[in-house]
Parts: sequence; C-alpha cells; structure tokens
Amino acid sequence: MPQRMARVSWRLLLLGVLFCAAGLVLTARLAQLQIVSHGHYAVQAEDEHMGMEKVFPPRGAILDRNGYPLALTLDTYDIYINRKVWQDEKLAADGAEALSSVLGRRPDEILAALGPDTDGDALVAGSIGYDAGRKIIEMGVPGVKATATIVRFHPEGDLASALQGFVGRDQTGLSGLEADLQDQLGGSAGTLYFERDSMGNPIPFGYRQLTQSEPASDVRLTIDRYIQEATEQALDAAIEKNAANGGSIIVMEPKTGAILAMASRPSFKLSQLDLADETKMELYRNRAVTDLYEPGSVMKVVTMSTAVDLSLVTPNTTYEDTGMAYVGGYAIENWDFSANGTTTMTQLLQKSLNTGAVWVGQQIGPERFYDYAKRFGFGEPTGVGLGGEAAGTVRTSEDPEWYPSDLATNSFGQGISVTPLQMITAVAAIANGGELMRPYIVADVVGPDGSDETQPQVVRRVISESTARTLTAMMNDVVEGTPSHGARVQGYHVAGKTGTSFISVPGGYAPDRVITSFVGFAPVSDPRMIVLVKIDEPQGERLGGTVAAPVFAELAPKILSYLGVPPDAPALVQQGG
Amino acid sequence: MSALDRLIARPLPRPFPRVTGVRPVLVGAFLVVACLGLLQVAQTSSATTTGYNLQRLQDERFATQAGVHQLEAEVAVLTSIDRIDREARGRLGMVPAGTALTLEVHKQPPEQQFVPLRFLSETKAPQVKTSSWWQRLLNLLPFF
Repeated sequence: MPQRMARVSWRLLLLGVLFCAAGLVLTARLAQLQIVSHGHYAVQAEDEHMGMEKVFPPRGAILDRNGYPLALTLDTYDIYINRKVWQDEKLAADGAEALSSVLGRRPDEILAALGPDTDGDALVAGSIGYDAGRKIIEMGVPGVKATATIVRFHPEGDLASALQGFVGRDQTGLSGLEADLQDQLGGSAGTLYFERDSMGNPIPFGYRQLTQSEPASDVRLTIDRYIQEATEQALDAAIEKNAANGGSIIVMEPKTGAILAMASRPSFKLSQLDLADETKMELYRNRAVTDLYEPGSVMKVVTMSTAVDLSLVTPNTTYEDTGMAYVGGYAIENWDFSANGTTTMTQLLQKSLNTGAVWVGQQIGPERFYDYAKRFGFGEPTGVGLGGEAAGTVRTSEDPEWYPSDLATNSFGQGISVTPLQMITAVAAIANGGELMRPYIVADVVGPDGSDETQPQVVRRVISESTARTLTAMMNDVVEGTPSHGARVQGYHVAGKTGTSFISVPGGYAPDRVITSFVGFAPVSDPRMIVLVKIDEPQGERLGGTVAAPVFAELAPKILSYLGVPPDAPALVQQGG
Repeated sequence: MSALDRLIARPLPRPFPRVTGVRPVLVGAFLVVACLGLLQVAQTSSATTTGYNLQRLQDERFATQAGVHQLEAEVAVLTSIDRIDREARGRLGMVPAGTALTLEVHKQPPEQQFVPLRFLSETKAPQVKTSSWWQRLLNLLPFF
C-alpha cells in the first residue's frame, strides 16, 4: 500500500510539476505580451482600431494683379468601394444601383470600375461634387467610402497653364506656381485620428481627435489676366503664322520688375492634363525661365551700353565697316554680308552689324565686357522665385575654355546663353534709367495674419542714367530710324532691338535653324512696359525684324491702351476745345 | 424535576439585537454607486449629445464652406474674360475696338461738373464737428 501511495505521489507530483511548468510558461508568455512587448502590441492594437486621415485646409487661391481668380479650390469627394465587401453579388448589385443615380453612371459601369482585383479599395468616382458626396455618405451603402478632397478650378480656363502649374491628388503642387508657392498656397495639413470599425469606417461618436491645420494663404500675382490673354493669343498666332516650333513672350513693368504676362510654347493645357502620359512631361516646364537660347543681336544693346557707359563711344562714333572682322583666326561677317564703310554707332544698331559689335567689343576688352555682362545679370538666376530657373552660360576670359573669338561672338549675342527672363530684365535696366530691378511675379500673399506685399527691389545700378538715356535714344532710332521697321507702333515712340541667332548643335551651328527675337519698350519718354518676343525656328521668314517685331507691334498698343498710357505722337491726338 | 430540567434547559432569552452600522453603510454605498452610475450615464449621454451636435455643426460648417467655394467659383466664371467676351459679342453685339482715338483737351475743366446726378455717388451730409463741454470751456479762456 505505501508503495502504491508512493507511485501515486510520484505521478501526481509529475503532473503538478507539469501544470506548474505550463502555468509558468503561460505566465511568462503573458508577462512578455503584457509587460515586455506592451508597447509593440499596444501600437498594433491602436493601428487596428484607430484610423488616421490628413485634413487639408482649403488651398489658397491664385489671383491676378486685380484680384480676379486664376485658380480656386472646390470641395469634392472621391468615392471608393471596398472590393471584398462587394464580393457579395446581391450587395454589389444593390449598391451599384443606389450609386448610379447619384453618380450619373450606369450600374454596370460602376461594377466594371472595380476591376479584376478582389481585394482593396477601388476608386470608382473622383472629385465628385460636395453635395453628391454627402448624399452618398448619408445613403450608407455597405462597402462604399467617400473621402473628402479638393480640386483646383480655373475660371479663366487654360490661361497661363505652364506658369500656374498643377497639384497632385495629395494636394501638393507638382509644377509651376502651385509647386513654387506650396507653403503659402497649401498651408499645413492637420490630422484626424478616429476610432474605426472592421471596414475601416469611422465609428459614429467614437473617439475623434483633430489637430488643426494651418490655414492657407491666397497669392496675388503681378500677372494681369487681360495682358496674359492678349500675350498668349499673340504668341499662338505668331507660331501658327510662321510655322514655328515654339516661343516665349514676357511683358514687364521696367520700373518695378513686375511681370505682367509670361507665356511660352509648347506648353500644356490645364483642361487637358494627363499625368499618366509621360511623353507630355516636357510640356510642364515654364520655358521663359528654364530654357536657354543665344540672344543674337539683342545682345548688341548690352555691348553698346557697356561701351557708352565706359565713355569709349558715343552714338556718333564711327568705325570702318569692311564687311568682315577677323578674330582669333575666324572671319566674322555681317548677317547680310554687307560692307557699310564708315558707320556710326547708331547705324551699327540700326543695321545690326556684327562687325561693328565685334569692333565695340574689342574697344571694351574682355574683362570689362564680362564684368558688365555680369552686372546686367547674365550668368546667374534673376531670383524671380520660379522653379527651375536657369542661370545661363557666360564663358568669361578667366575660364580656361575661353578663346578671344568668344568675346567677338558674345558681343553680338552668339556663344552666350541666356533665358528670356534674363534678357528682358537686362534691357529693362536701360528703360529704368540704368537700375537693374529684380523681376517678381508675386504681388502679395494674403494670409490669416495679414498681407505680405512684395516690394520692387533694385538689384544694382548697371549703367549711369545718362548712358541709359543715350541707349534709349539709340534704340528709338533703331525702330523709328529704320524705314518700315516691323516694331513701329502708331501713336507711341518705341525703343527696341531685334535679334536673330543660330541654334547651336554639337560641332557648331545649324544653318537652317534660327531663333528670332525682339525686345522693345514704350513709350520712350516714360517707359511703362517692356516686351520680349522670342519665336523659335520659324519657317519662311527667318529674321527678328520680320517675325518677332510685328508681334510686338500688334501687342504693344493693346497693352498701352489697357494701361491707360496716352499716345505721345500728335498724329493720333485730336486737338479739342 | 423534569420541570426543573426544562427550566434549566430553557435557553436564555436572546439579547435584543444590536443595531450595527453595516446595513446603512451598505445601503448608503449602494445609493452612492447608483448615483455615480446615473451621473456617469447622464454625463456620457450629455457628452454623446454634445459630440453629435458638434459633429452636426462641423458638417454644417463644411457644407457652408463648400457652398461658399462653389459660389466663389460661379462668380469667377461669370467675371471671366471669355464669358465677358462672349456676352459682349453675342448679347450686346460689340466688336473689338479698332484704332483708339485720344482727345487732348486744352481747356480748364469747369468748376461744376455737369454730370447727371444718377452717375454721381450719393453725397453724405458733412459731419458736424462736435466738441466736448470741456473743450468748449477751454475755448472760452483767453489766449488759449
């Protein structure tokens, strides 16, 4: 009997030990779950139980200089369907039927939008109206989720598409001003934490915590919608007329640097935006600030300004034009292969003589030439605040790859690369009495804390006032002293200069590909606007004077009249009283 | 004897039971718990109602805000250049301006503008400058 008891005790003891061990293991596991890994599992549980949504503040508006909206925000909803829930055919059919009346689509179209996948959410309708979205929420169709979002609306249509840019689905600016001014236009998104059910939908009256978003600001541009539209129409017409590849037009106030219009082609249309098409990627940039070109004879204005400012020449200084200039082993000819004999500086500009520009460049010398080029703003971004702005390429005499022939070609605008914005800013300095202004496009940012206005900023004095007056008179002579110059504007005295440059290709220049341009300002007595017209690779006519200058002549009177600038020629003024 | 035994065996009368504080405490505790429970229910109910109202108001605010944005967009469309151009050409029969004619008038403007009254903004009656009694009093003082 004691032996049996001993056996039983041994078995019981073993069982007890096993139970104890199991208990210990369980306890240890519990301790590990509840104490050691508490944080990890707590986070997992919270993730499972809590949902998070970014709450965007209404994106700020983009306004033109007079306060007319160019881009606004509309509140919309994206409608998603949980594919797993809609695996039930009866439920899916009923749901599609219910949604069809609100979405204005047939039930079979809605079901087709789910695609072949059987899991995850399917976007069946994007950016539907706010009221329709609310209606769908109130319908409470199983498996249907409405996510609040916003969409950009452009009341002026495709006006200034490349300049304005666009936003992505996450309301972040992707290109143009929408991207450049993301901080101001976008504000700061808040976060909504909420308890959610097994389908991921918020539990009514469950836990909700909202961290407030920072409100966005409206941005008022210096762009004038009327001038912008006139500019785009003129550019499109010029490109079509000349069967050109593209072009740019910029309109600026020379005294402040405020940009009134900026258009470039080829570009995209906001109304036909298709981000899925990768071939259209290169249309999204604002070529007026990102693309470089050799300015051609417009650069002669800069060369001449330098020489006049250094008192090396006056408008009546002469040089002997033999039709050929030899520099560094290269022979440089005039664009029309002419030889003009004794020629004044004014005639040099009027006839746009390359040999004359080379002669003036030699008088200046490389150090002083490139010093002035830098002072005019070439070789560095203007600081306009637009993304992707190029600095341009100016090879100076300190550069090991520089050759003496570079000074010669640079003096008439070849071998130097600038952006259209740099070029107009440089010539605007002449119209502004010699002071280089920083171009700007944001007039003010109006936020909840008030308005932050951009003040015109003088970058530096480039040339003296007297030099600026002299050059203005010479440029006026270019337009009005040349018979039937294409840039003449009836009723206004205009100063300007044409340019035609060959496009550089590897190994040299393409003889049949040119860029034509014109920069002009008016009225000469008190310049109120300056316009740069650049037409790329025109077919047929291939000179700045016949391609770009007429565009200026068409556009300038519209702008001057719109700005309320009275004509200064007596021809159009009737004496009254 | 037996009677005596019975007498002896008869148990002593039980003392009158003492009133202890346990039962009232229990009752009190029950009442407190019940009150607390009711308070909790009332509070939760109140919080839920407030939460519901808040959510409803927030939804109303969002809806109003969306309506404001919609109206802004409609106004913007109505004032867009394209629509003005369309209306001017289609409804009013206007055409783009030809050569602008500017008149230069070498004559002094008249002192009185002969503009029809309906084009003039309403003129407000000039505000009478009133001064306080102590200012009038000071004005009475000589050399002031």
